Amino acid sequence: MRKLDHTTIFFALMGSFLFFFVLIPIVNLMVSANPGIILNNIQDPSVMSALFLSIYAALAATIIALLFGVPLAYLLARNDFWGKGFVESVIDVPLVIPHTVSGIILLLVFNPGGIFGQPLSQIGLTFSDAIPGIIVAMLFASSSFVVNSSREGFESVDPRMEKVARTLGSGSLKTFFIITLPLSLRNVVVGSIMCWARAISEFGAIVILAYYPTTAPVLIYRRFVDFGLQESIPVAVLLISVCLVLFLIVRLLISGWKTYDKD
Amino acid sequence: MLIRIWREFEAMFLEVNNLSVDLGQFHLIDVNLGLEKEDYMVIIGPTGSGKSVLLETIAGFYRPQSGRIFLEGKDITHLTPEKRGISIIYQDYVLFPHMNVFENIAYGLKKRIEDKEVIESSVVDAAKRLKIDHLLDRNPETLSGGEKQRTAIARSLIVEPNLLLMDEPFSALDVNTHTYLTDLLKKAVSDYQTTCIHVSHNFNDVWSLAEQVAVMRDGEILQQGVVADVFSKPRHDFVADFVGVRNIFQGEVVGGSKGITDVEIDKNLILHSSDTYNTDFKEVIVVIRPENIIFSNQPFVSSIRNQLKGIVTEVVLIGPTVWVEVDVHGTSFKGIITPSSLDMLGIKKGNEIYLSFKSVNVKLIDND
Repeated sequence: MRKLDHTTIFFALMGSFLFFFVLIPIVNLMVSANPGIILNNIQDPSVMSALFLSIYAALAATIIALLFGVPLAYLLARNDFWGKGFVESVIDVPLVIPHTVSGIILLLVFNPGGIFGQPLSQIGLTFSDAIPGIIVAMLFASSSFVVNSSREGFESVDPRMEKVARTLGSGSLKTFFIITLPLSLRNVVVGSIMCWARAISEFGAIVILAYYPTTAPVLIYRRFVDFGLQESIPVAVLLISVCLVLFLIVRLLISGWKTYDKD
Repeated sequence: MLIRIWREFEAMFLEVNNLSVDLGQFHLIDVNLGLEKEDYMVIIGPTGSGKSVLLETIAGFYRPQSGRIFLEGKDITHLTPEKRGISIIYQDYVLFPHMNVFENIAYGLKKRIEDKEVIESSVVDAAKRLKIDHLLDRNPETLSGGEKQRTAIARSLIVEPNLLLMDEPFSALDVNTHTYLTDLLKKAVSDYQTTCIHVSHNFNDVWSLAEQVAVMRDGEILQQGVVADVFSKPRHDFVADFVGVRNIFQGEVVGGSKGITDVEIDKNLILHSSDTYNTDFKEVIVVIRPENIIFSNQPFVSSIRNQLKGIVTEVVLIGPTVWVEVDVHGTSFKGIITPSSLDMLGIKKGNEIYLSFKSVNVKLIDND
């Protein structure tokens, strides 16, 4: 075993602060909930539909983020162009502004008279207090996870590997799907999970853009405001359990996943 | 003679005409290259001279600012890489890590051949030629460097490319593997009748593989030709210096007659060259290859025009040869002899010695 020096011990003491700072409140929440009440909540349709809505709207947002984020990530990984820094910054902006501000920004363009909302309402899509609004809010807040993580994955694939595939007769799109994407799939998947988890947790932007139908975080907030802390705990426990289980499953899946990082 | 003249008019197998590429950090300036089918060309030059950019431009990864590339008479300048029939091999192999050796080698065939049995027999055949048929099930990460590079060579040759490009293919390998692979590669490219351009900084690759050699510096091809010509008649002082000619002097044409040019390279030191020279351009670079200098203990009467007396300042054994450095009135000459000649002549540091070299071996290059 490695000998423990003073620095290691000191850093371990300092470092464990954050670990316990996050862990203890979560565990505390889980143990403070009454199992009987949680069971009641599972049988409550409004709770279940809120949970279900959060999960599937977040999944929809993640799929959209993948569809548009992966091509963008590949472009950013492989090309240098004028204004690239600006593009990267724009993608990261949702991470640094308050989510209520994101909600206001989105409401302005997605309300039925807004520049996106108006034409989209022509084809029957409404966003205020509707599921598309929830998805849009989630997408806005979370898509950068897909872009940034996929981009890192693509950057780790040697461009010359693509060049070899090209000279052997594969077109550039085929090369992407046969060489580059399989080799960076882990990053794409990790980014998607982060995006999904972040989307499930989204509250600020949703509250402003689509208070109804109720997602789980909004339900927790309403229970808290209307009935107090005790009433909000069971839903919180359920939501956090769902998130943790999803998170765990995927972590297990990718831990067995072979990586091909450049050495 | 007539046939040779006719060939001049015929299009060559590969023609690179006035190719210029600007990538900011790297560039190519007005590059011209010509290769016949099954030629093997080695391009040498210092790091950063644009050798890799030239290869990748020929392969189709960079759009040239100007110039054209013709392969078998067809203009391929604007074809995409997958349509050129040009394979490329890199220094660090870049095998596909998510495929085993078999799948790596078979990669390029899958598009061309439907029949799985044909693919399999071609892969096994190529693997046998490169002596990796026992490794077909292995993953690339479990292979040694030499095995990886043999896989990469098989992968690129199996599609029978019109042109095989190699970017320092052996420089990550140890000496023994290098020699072994050189022999395998030589055999394999001749089996597949492949035309090759090989970028290297190792002169052994030139001796053992090349028929043609090109010397590059700062994005320009300074000289291209048959190996013996380029090494014995460097037309540029950089080429002379780079290809290892150790006796390079600044000189001034001071006279001459009957096909002999007299060049003063130092006060009281005049050499005679059979290169005819226009005396309007007096500044020249004088080049003498070390192996053309003859050593003797006594002056001797002969037709050799250049005979100098000097003092041995250095005797160094390098591999199978001995480098001898001689000071002649403050000018240093370097010659190369065998260890047995060294013994026979009793050459030692501090001894007096005579140097002789024919005027035909004194090359004059424009100093501009």
